[in-house]
Formats: sequence, structure tokens, C-alpha cells
Amino acid sequence: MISISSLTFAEEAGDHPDNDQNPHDNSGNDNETGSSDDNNENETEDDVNETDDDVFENETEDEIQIMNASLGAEIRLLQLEKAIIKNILKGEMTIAVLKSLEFNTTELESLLADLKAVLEDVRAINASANDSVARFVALKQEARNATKLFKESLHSLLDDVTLREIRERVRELVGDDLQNYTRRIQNRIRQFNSNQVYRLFGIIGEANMSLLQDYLNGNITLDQLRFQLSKTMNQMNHERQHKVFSELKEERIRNKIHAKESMDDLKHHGNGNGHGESP
Amino acid sequence: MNKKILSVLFLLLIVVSATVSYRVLNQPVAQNNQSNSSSGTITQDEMAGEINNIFINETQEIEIGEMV
Repeated sequence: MISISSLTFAEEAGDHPDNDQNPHDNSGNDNETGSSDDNNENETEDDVNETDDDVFENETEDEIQIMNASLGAEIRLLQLEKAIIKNILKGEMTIAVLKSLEFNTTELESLLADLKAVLEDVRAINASANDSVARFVALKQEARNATKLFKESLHSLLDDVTLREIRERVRELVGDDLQNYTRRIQNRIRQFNSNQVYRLFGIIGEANMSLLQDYLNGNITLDQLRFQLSKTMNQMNHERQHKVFSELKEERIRNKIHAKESMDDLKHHGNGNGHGESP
Repeated sequence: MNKKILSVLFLLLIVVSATVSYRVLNQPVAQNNQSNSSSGTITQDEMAGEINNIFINETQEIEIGEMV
């Protein structure tokens, strides 16, 4: 069992060379039901899977909107790393418990190894590279698939009671181990939001640097910052309000369209499934 | 006498008309916290919504599913 400390992030400055992998398409569809199920039940599960896939896709589409800036890309990659590490830690805890109960955990360990390999690939992405969005989307899908397979394999081994017990145990586990990631992500998000405030000041034509500094230092929350900005906007004359509103709205729509096009592009050229394979 | 009364009434009418016209023309546009423009009104909520959209929530996380 790999120690938890080995999974905490390394302070690696500098770029990693891109592993320009083009994983081939694999169906991530895993509707494994028994042969005795009714057709209706299969259709219902398909509908649920389709809805989950839609939700996943919509979330991903929203997430990549900020990735045109390298700081935004860095944030998303760190968030993905954190999510994968959280699942790896839960997976390791689960396997440890099952081993103590003398279950055969070979398959689970293999699936967990896949997830760890995805983590390494995420860490290798250069946030400034042109293909960071494509790789993020592909690896997020791979991480999701690996997680799903692990869960299904686990559910095929255990009854509901044991599953519930394990769920309770792993829930308490991961709080402290991810503190570093949480802090690092929060700092970057704060920097990103500050950059957005700078831009907004540029559009408005006036700056309140003390407000910005207070936010950066953590003296005020994001909600308080938003409130103050809204107050400033409401005090402006109508023409300026309209100008600012229009610019913000146009940019939001532009980002949304760009993200949608990127996702459509990735779908047509093949998302990354089939981890570890090079063309 | 009648002419004097008529003159006063006429002057009063002019003053009242001028006052009403002044108030109507200088009525604040931003009633109900709305900003009127040639392209439509912008409510406070709409403005706040666009401002909110440019920021990332600090506690936001990416979801890839549960292991258990």
C-alpha cells in the first residue's frame, strides 16, 4: 500500500514536457445489469446514466470556461488533482479494510493503480500549453471512468451493510490530508478573482485598491467583495451601468460559446479514454 | 377689480404649470432600482448576476464520482 504522504502534491516548479498522447475512444458505458432484468429497467438505468453524463458534460463545459488563462487552467488542474487524490485515499482505505476482512482485492488494486496513473498524467500537464483544455477534459473523463469501475467492482463484492460501514469510515479520513491542496487552490482562486476585479475596474474606469487589497489579504470574503462592487455599480449613471453590464454579458456569452465549441471539437475528435496508450 | 382677479388667477396658473412641468421633466429615472437605456432596463439583480459570474467560488470542487 502506497503511503498517503507520497500522494501529497510535490512542489514542482517549471514545466513538464507534454506527453502528447491521443488516447483512442473507449466506451465508458458500464451499464452492467443482470441478464434477468426487464427491458424497462435497462431503459431506466440508461436514462439515469444519460442524465449523469449530461450533468458531467455540462459541469466540464462550465469548468473549462476559465482555462483560456493559464491561472484558470492551473486552478482547474489543481482541483482535478485534489478530486483524484481524495478518491485514491478513499480507495486505499477501502482496500485496507477489505484485506483485513480477507477479501480478494486484486481487481480493486488494479483499478486503483489506473486512477493513480491518471493522477500522474494530470500532474504532467503544462497549464500554459495549448492542449491543456483537451487533456483536462480527457483525464477528467478517465478519472471518472476509473472511479466508476472501482465503485462497481466494490459493490459486486460487498453487501449494503458493509458498504455503508466503509463509506462512514472513509468519509472521516480525507479531511486533513488535502489541506495543502485546499489552501493552494484557494490562493490561486483568490488571485484569479483579484485579476477579474482589476479588469472590472478597467471597464468601470475607476479603481478601489483598498477593497482589492482587503480581499487579497483575506480581510473580506468574496461575498463582501461582490456586495461592494454591486454597490459601486448602482451608484454609477445609467450610461456607464449599461456599458459595464453589456461588456460583462458579452464576455460571459463569448466564453460560454468558446467552451461549447471546444467540447464539441473534443467530442468529434475523440475524448481521452484508454489511459496510457500512445498513438 | 375683475381684471385684477383674472390677472392673479392667470399668473397662478402659469406658476402652477411651470412647477408641474419642472417636476415631471426632472423626475429621477432610476426608480425601482432600474436603469433605463435605449436597449432595455437593467435590474439590480441582473447587474449583480453578471458581476457574480466573473468570479470563482473559493470552495468550488470538481466532481468525478464516489469510490464507495
